[in-house]
Amino acid sequence: MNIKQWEGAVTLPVSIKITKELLMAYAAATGTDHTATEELKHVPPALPMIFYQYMSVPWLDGQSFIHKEQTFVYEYPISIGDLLQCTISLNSVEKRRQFLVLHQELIGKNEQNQMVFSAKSILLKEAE
Amino acid sequence: MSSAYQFGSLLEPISLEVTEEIIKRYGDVSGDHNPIHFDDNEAKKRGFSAKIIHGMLSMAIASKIVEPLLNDSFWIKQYNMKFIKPVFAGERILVSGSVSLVQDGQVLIHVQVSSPTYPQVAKGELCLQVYK
Repeated sequence: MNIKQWEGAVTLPVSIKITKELLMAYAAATGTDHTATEELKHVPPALPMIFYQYMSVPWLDGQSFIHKEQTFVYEYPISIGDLLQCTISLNSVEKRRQFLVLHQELIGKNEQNQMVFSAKSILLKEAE
Repeated sequence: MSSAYQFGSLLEPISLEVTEEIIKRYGDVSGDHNPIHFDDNEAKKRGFSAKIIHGMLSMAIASKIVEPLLNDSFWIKQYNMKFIKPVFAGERILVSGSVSLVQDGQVLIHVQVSSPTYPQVAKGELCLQVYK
């Protein structure tokens, strides 16, 4: 696949509801006990990465990447019951030595169309 | 803001053995079924000596170091992490953290993740914001 051709692309928006079941499944998958999760006011900061599975991201399709850096920035914390409109954009693709370096960003907005969070990722893939 | 959060204060470290069961659960909940996390041979094809855990799983586990503070008076404004070395499936990771800045209603926590194989597999920062 020529990933460079997707530079600048943005996925279709997807609405994601934050449920208690989603939070509990995430907590169990990250080695957190049930009681500790019950006491949280907001969802853990790295949780939005699991939203990728609900979204169609053509430049990731069938590809294997190494995750190098990740940054989450929150304007508001996320809580159970929130409904988020999410998109992913491929901001840049650079060739660095034998690797392609992808800069992409998942963002989530609330029902008032306000930015809730941004999740920027730097991914590496061996150039073909 | 509590005076406990002063420059240089150490947080209670956490450690977790990242078992194959946890990796499988994370793969299921995240939808990330990249074979480098589940198959030694696939991992070796990519230059690793054995299958490795998801970087985002390390990041998720590391964030738990600030959970005792979140139920006090803070929420997380920002969280970043660089993944420096791989963590192999079955390894026990250790997360340590210290307060690196206290300013204007924010507390910056430096976190570091280590494994038995590498003294530093990931490092990052969490910025905690006081509720207004």
